[in-house]
Amino acid sequence: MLKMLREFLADVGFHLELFAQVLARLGAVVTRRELVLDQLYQAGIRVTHVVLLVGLFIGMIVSLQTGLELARFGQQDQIGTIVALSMCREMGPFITATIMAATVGSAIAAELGTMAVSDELTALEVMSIDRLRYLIVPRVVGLAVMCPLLTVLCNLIGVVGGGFIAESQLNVGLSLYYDSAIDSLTGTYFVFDLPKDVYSGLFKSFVFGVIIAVIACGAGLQATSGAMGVGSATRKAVRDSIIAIIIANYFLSWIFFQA
Amino acid sequence: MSARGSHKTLLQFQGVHKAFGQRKVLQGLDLEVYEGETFCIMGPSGCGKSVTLRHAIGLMKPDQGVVTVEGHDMSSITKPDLRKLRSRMGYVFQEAALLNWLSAGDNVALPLRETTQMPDLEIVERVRAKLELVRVPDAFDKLPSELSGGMKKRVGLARALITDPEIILYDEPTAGLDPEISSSINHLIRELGERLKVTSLVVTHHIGCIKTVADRVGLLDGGRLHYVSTPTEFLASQEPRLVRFLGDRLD
Repeated sequence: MLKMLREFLADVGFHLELFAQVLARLGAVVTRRELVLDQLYQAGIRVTHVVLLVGLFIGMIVSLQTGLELARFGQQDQIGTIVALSMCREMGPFITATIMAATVGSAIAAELGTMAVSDELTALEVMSIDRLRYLIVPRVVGLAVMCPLLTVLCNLIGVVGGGFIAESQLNVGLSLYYDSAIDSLTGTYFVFDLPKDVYSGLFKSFVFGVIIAVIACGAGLQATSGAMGVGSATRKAVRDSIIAIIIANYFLSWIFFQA
Repeated sequence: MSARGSHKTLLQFQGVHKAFGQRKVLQGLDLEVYEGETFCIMGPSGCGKSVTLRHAIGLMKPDQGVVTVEGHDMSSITKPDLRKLRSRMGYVFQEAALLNWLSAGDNVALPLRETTQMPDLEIVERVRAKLELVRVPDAFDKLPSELSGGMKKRVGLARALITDPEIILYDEPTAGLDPEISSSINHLIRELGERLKVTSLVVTHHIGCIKTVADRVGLLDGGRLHYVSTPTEFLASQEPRLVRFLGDRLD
């Protein structure tokens, strides 16, 4: 038990140190533009269709499940509000982050893990190439930027999906649905004219992106023992990312909506 | 003493110990590599040959003892000095360790692109010259996955040569290659040593390799170096341990 706790604390310490080292090298975003653009593509464009598909069905599920219950009390007109709020506050950021952890995070861990076990990381060190600048900063920036952008898409498509169900299953007109969805998001304005429900979700998404990238990069860098080690690193990256996202999600929600 | 080498010691191990947990790998290793010579370390798998190389380039630090390269103590060398020193050293990895998303040309260019301000045109010229030198001029645009094992080794060698190093460390340069390709790699290493006057430390368990490239050779066993001599003397030795190690490989 004590050993597990020690290992856990060492792991947390390693990732915090890695994050601090990435922050200290953020200037590499300018000097390594091509690498950053490539990671934006890897972390964004290549998973957009997955986010859109999952977001659409999540919106439909929320609309159907909640709408049927609301209909029992004759409150189905409120379905636009519920879908919009749940997508922007929780479902959009969380679902997008989970998809990113499972697709991009696992790919990063596998890629860096393979490099670790095939001496490619050692080769960079021997050539005096800073692997944090060359490999890690572009990946962290790629995920930190793309996670919120994909969350916007997930939110939008989720609301659209919810609208299909509202009209087809709950007999709520589309205009009423969208009016209530938009009205629900016009509460407290903040930066860039974004309502709190939206910006809080996007901020969470940004944090999730950083968490996924740091955990995945850390798992890859620490990989040992050939193919088995790469598999283990990949599994660890996805598992730890999802756990960390859920824990961070609670605290960020608490900060935004309770504090 | 070799025909090519001088008596100036470039790389020295003095009483080096290294253990991983309970497993003692190096147990008082003494080694001297002279300027301009090619020194080969032979030994059974897992005897610490690669660990020795990793000490020589500062990837590992000894538990006890001293490793010096060009007079720098590798345990206490500062990071800037280590970077400078490494820029004068090349390391050829057993599996080449090429970055798989970069073409062979970009792999070879990587040290110059990432650590110097050299114009890209000049870098490309130098890369082409090095690929020519190691006899894979057509590999420039190919990805590592499109290269054979021998070609990968040559590209890895070109990458090690791109900064015109004074010392090259070879980790099993012919491992996993067929005899014909192994022989051509061995001759290439010999030729580079003679033409570029580099000092080389080669770890291998191939007799063909030491016959072709070595000025001196020693057997790493029990964490120490034994029977350091010329390849001819080494292979003719009747020392029981050496005979047992070389066995029917002499055939």
